[in-house]
Amino acid sequence: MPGKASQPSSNPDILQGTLDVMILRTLQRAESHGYAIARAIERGSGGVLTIEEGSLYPALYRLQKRGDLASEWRTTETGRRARFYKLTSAGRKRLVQEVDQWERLSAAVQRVLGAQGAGA
Amino acid sequence: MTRLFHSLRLDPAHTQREIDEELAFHLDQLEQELVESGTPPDRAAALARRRFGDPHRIARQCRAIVFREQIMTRRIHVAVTVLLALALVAAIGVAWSMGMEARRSRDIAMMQAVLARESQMRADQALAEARVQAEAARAAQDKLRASNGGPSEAQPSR
Repeated sequence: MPGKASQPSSNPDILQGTLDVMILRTLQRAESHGYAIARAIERGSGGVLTIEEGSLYPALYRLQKRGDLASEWRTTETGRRARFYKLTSAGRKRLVQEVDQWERLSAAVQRVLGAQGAGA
Repeated sequence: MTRLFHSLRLDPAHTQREIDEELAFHLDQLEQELVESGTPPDRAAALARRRFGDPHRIARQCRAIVFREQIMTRRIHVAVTVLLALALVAAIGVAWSMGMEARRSRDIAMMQAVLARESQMRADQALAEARVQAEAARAAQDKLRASNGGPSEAQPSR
């Protein structure tokens, strides 16, 4: 997941869930189009995460189909049309669940890494 | 606001156009960003595409997600139709084979009746032959007694 990735790595489920929670979190702060979401994730990660930007869109479509997001076409300041996404109330609930799940997953991975720690 | 959620209309051509426009916007923004940070314009488009990924592949994935239910529904319809057709064929097959069984049973019964009649006939014939032989034996006996000079048996043997 970290670094420039042209393809998702070998663990697609964790990766997908991670991308989903970052999208939901980004949209909690502001309604955005896909490009803005990509920039926000990159910026928010301090430049560590540069995802294959197109992979955002299947994730956005899936989340929308699931009911966590809604979208509408709007005109940007430059006069171009873009699809803007926002969280639904279901999406806000989902965000809370996913953050909780991510934190537990992250802690579990930490424990494994810690257990195999120095000198292994 | 839920109306906006359903703005993804399931009209394939329209949906495809919208997906393409959405991805094209992102690619253009990327290209612009690259140019603004010093990438030569003629290189920016290719670089943007590399950072974005293959837009055709991504558009295909998005379409599949949008139409997934339609695809699944169509597949379910096909599967149900095939199953019903198979069930119909199976039912016809069972009825036919039950009919065959019934015919076979009837044929067997008929054969058994014929055989029974034949053995009845053979039994009758054997009985008739036995009677004939019994008569012949009695006649021979009478003839023997007559030639020996004794009286013939007037009464039938007990």
